[in-house]
Amino acid sequence: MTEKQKDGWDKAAIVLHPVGGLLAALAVAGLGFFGSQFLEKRQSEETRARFFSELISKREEADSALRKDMFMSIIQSFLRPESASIDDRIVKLELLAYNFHESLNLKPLFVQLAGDIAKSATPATRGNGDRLEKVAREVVRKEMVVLEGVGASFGRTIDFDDVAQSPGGLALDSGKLTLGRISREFSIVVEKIEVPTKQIQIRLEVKTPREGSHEVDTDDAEFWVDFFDFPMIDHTRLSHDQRCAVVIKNFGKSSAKIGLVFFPGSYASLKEKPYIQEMIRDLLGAKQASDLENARR
Amino acid sequence: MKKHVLAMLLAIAAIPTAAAAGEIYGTIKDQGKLVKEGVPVTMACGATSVPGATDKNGAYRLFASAEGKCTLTVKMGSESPAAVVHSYAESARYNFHLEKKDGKYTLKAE
Repeated sequence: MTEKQKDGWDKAAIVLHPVGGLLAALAVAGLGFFGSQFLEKRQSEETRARFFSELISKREEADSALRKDMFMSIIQSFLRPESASIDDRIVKLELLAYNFHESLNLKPLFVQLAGDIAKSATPATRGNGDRLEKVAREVVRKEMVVLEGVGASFGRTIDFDDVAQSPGGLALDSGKLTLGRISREFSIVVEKIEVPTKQIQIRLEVKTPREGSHEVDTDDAEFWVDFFDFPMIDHTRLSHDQRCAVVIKNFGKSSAKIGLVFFPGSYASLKEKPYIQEMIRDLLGAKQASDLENARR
Repeated sequence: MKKHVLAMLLAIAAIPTAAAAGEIYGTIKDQGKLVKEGVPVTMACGATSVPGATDKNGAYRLFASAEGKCTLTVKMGSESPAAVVHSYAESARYNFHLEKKDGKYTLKAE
C-alpha cells in the first residue's frame, strides 16, 4: 500500500495538535485566573458593603439609644409640670422640637406650654410666648425647605378685612400643583381667623382628575392651622401616597401669609407607615395599578 | 466726644432693627425664566416708596418701614405690572411670575 501524500491540512494538523493542547491549557489557566480575580473583587465589595451596613446599623443603634434616653428624660418634665419652671420647660421643648420634630407630633406640648405662659404672663415672662413661637417657626421653616425641595408649593395672603366681609368664608385663588405624574388642584377657603391666638380655620379642597377620564375626584378637609402645626407630621393624606400641608408663614395685625406644600409620602414623619395597599400598588407598577383601579370603579 | 460715641453706638444698634422690620424678598420670573439683573422693583407702602432691583438670580429684596399692605411694582420696558404684598414683623417671601396676556404684563404671586 502506498502511503497517502500529506496535504497542507494534514501538516497543519500535526503542527497545531500540540499547540491546541497548549492553547487549551492557557485558556483554562486564564479562565481560572480571571475567575478568581472576579470572585475576589466581588468578595471584597461584599465585605465592604457588609462593613458599611454594620457600621451604619451600629451608629443608628447608638443614636436611637441616645435619643431614647434623651426623650425619656425630657418627656418626664412635661408629665410632671409642677416640677419645672416655664423657662426649663421651654428649653426642654426646644430640645424635643429640634431633635424629634420629624418623628413626634409636638403640637399638644406647644399648646399646653403656650397656655401656661399666657396664664402666668408677667412683664418678665412676656418674651416666652415669642420664644415658643420662634422655635415652632424655625421647625416649620426647616421642614418646608425639605418638602419644597422634593415637592411643589404655593403661597397665599389672607387679608383679615376680606375675611370679615365674606360671611361664607373667603375663597383664595386656587393653585394647580404637579408631583410625579399627578396634577391636583388645591382650593383654600378661609373660614375664621382668631387673631389673639394666631389661628386660621381652613377648608381645603383637593381635586384630582381621574386617569383616562374627564371625571374629578374631590377630597376635602376642614381644620385649624397655627404656628404649632408642623407639615411633616400634620398634613392631609392623599391618594398615591402623597401628602399636602398648610402652614402659617407670617401672621400680622391685618393679614397672614400661608403656604401649601404638596409632597411625597416618603417625606412624611418617621412615625407614619405607608398603607399596604399602596405599597402593593407601587410594586405592581403604576400602569397595572391604574388598570386595577379603573376595573374596581 | 462721649455724646458722639453714644450716638454712633445707638445708630449702629438701630440698623439691624430697622433692616429686619418688614423685609419682602423673593424671585421674579418672566415666562418661566428668572428675569435679568437690574430689573427695577419698587415697593410703595403708604406715602413711602422703596426702590430696588433684581440681582443676577432674578431675586429682589426690599424693606418696608412698617407692617402693612404695600404695592410692589416691576418695571418691564414701558409697562409696570403691580401686585399687593403684605409686610410683617418677620421677613416674608413673595415669588412672582409675569404673565403676558393680550400684550400686557400682569404680576402674579406663585
